[in-house]
Amino acid sequence: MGKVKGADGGAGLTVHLDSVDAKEIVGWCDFAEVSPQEVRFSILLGQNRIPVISRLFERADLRSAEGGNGRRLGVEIDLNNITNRRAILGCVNGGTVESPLSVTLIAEWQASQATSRSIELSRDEFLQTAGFLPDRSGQWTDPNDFEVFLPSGDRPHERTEHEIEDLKTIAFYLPQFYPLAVNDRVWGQGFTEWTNVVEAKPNYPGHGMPLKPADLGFYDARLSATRKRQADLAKLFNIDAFCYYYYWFSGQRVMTEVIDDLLRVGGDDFPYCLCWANETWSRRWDGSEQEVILKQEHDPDEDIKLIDELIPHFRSPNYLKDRGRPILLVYRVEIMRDPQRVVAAWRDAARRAGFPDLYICAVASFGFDDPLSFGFDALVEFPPHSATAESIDPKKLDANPEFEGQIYSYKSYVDNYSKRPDYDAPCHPGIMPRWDNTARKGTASHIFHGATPEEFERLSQIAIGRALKRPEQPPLLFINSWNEWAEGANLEPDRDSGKSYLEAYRRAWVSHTADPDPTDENRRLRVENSVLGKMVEQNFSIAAQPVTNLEPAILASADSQADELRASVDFLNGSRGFVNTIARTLHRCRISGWASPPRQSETGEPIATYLRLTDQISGEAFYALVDQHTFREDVVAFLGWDGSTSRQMGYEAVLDLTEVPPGYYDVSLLQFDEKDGTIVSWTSGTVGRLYRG
Amino acid sequence: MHNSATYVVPLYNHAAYVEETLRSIVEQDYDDLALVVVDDASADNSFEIASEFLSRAESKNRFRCVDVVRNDTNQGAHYALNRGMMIADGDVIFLANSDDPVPESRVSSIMSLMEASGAEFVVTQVESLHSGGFARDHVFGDFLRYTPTRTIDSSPSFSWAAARWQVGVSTGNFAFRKKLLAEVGGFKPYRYCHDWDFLLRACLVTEPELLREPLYRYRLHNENSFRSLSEVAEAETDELLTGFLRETNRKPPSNERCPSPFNYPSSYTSLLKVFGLYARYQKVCAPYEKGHRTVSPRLVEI
Repeated sequence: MGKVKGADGGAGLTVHLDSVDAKEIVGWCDFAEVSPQEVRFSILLGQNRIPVISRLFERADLRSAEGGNGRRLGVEIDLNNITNRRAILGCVNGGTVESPLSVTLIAEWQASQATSRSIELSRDEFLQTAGFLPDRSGQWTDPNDFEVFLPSGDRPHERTEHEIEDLKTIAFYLPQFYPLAVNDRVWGQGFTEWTNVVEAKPNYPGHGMPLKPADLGFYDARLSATRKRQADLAKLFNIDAFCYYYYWFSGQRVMTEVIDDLLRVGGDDFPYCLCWANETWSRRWDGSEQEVILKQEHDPDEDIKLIDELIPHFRSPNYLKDRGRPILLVYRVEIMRDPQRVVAAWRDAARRAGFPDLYICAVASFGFDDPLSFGFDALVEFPPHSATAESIDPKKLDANPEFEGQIYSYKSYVDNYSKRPDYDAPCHPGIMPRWDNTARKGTASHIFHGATPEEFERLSQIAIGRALKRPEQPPLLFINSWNEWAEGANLEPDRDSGKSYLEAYRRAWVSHTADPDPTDENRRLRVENSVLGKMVEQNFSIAAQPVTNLEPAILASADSQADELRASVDFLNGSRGFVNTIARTLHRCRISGWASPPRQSETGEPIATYLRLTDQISGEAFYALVDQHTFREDVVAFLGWDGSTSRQMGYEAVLDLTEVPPGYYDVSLLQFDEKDGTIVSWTSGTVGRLYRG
Repeated sequence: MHNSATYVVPLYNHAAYVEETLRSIVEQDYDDLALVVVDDASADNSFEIASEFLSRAESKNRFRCVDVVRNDTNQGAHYALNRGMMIADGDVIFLANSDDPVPESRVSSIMSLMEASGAEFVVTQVESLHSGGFARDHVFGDFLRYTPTRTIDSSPSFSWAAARWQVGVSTGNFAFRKKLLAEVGGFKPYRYCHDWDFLLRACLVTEPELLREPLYRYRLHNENSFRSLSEVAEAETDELLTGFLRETNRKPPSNERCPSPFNYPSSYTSLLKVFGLYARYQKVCAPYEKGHRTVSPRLVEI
């Protein structure tokens, strides 16, 4: 019997151990006021704690037990579960598990834990009855685990990293490339990002401003043709999804056209997720509370309602999810009020809508670095917020004397990024190809000087490695941005650099795969060709059966003693051989189907199966021999026949119709005893129709 | 080059057949053979019969070595097979079912084929033993006689045929080089489909070969042989085929005949359609294309 240790006010959680045997460890837990979903179970083997996969179940015997008014459920730890077995084996082979072995059950909730009594048993007996076996060197092995043959360290479950193929690269997408009413009002009619971009003036010689769009031109983001080209470009360079900014101010939505279009069926066909850009809109473009255009009130009760507008997006097959959990970002958590309550309500709403949970990330903006305490799952790095770099004296670049902004070294940003230790909290890496907001701020801008595709490739390589390194986190990498042209942070091609930043990212991505060996690819292609060539040969080399007009004397018309032949044409020249369909052909016809196998003839001679084509008008008949050689177990099963007739009854033939005059023909089958000259059985009806054109 | 062979026989409640099976292994016409028997805690006296038979000089002396072990508790076929393979020391491992007697030339024929063609995994054609005239079972017996070969011949490669169904029919028909285990792993704890799963994982690294002689005798019993009717078997099939599609799409398999878009760049999707695997491929790992529906229509509410 254990009690909560160190809990504030005591939650009353207790856990009890009933039995340990070869198949399972069974106990029960009194959850008191705690929600069972929030409790984690583990076991102690000796002094070693092992996290385990456990199952809760109803136990009739607990309901009548006296004492306590909380919720009681049985706890079962399945010792056949491969994860549990690997954990136990790892612990035992680690060498600190003595005999006699004491097994204890632990329940953890938040910061406190409850411990059960211990059961002592012989270590070797416990392990052996559970199926573990000692090998010659004294290590224990598990024949239940198929990985036991693989070299240790190489086993799939030991993989400590994600594979590059699992990486999702997400680029931020700003929809502000079409006129909006609010922008028209504040900035002037027809304002879009392009307005600022083309006005940028260089602040020093060789500044590279203004940026001029190349492949996509001065595009209007409302056009689906544009967005399709953007998606195609992204796919070429290993960008897997866009993260669109979602502007929502206590129920009022802005910049909605592109986002709404995503919901239209067959819209963009490119994966995406959403980031609630919750800053107040200010003329200063920096979310400040000065010169406000649209204010973000952050009333928690209103903010909770945002999720109702997002759920239709989550339902789209294009919406990015991690194991079923839709991915959602919030740009500036530090200005939210009561974010824990809002996020918890959002998660509940997502669950009620049928999703296992949300995967909700907080952008690491303005120094925010503690997502877990606010109810978020992880951080997303968002340079330049998290960027540290050396300053460059503008005079050294011969800058314009009116320049009063800041210039940083992009190279030093990359150097610092490579040396920076990990965040404490779970964090997804974010990178920027370049950054320069001269288009927005003119002579008061911040500029990262010296951004080149080579430096970006170096940065991407490091960031991809970081994204793959934590197997417990989804492998996501964020790029600021796809198209923030006015901040000079666009991956989209411009006239001076073309696609070089996109190419740099792709090179970095490919460098994480194994070296592609061109001779290997050639060899595989040769193998494919030889294998398929063989199939082609097999398929086209069936000799065609001539369909001829046999002497009428041999084949009398319907013999009243002939049995009804059970038969079917399955395929006639590619179409199903239904009687209502007419197959059309010129010279050749493929036919396949089945017929009851010929019974033994009285004389022991073979009974042949013939296909008969009867001209619908003249009644003239033409015959082709078909060879019944395919086993049709499906037909035998369907007809419920017994084993004695389980002989081959399917036929396949290619008919050569050159001797058959044009016309409409009925297809039937018959079986003919050649020695006797009698028809043994025939299909009294038609099983197919053929037009010889 | 000479290779040594080991027969691994998992044993469970086959007291009536085990001696016949073990005798047929004793009578193999290949010299360098060892034997491992793993009794999975049989409830009848299978273990005692096997131990007694193998303690006789004329039985045990013909083997390089004999190991007979017993599991403390019943652990399942996959476990007994894995345990046996861990003990086996030959270059080539032959698996058996304890109720299927082995034709005399099975080991020698397979070893010759492996030497001649370099194959590392061999299955043979199958003939069934009908116990006591159950007419329905004759159907299945005929099925086994013709259909594996027809499937292999009508597929681009053996591994394509293996993706359609378990053309090796049973673990009792498997023979493979022991070194494959270090790349493939052992059997997974499936109740019905552990053999198919193992065959597919082996196809990732080597192209198996069919020996066109009926050198495996499959004993049909009274109970329904069509295990595909079981719900558990369906769930296991689902899991193993999904895993196979994922793995072959993740990176090029080292066996270049294995079904994979890396190996069949122009024909992969067409071949999947022909063999009825396309729907599953769409669900599991097809790259997103317009017209692929990955979400059931019922869930989409706009």
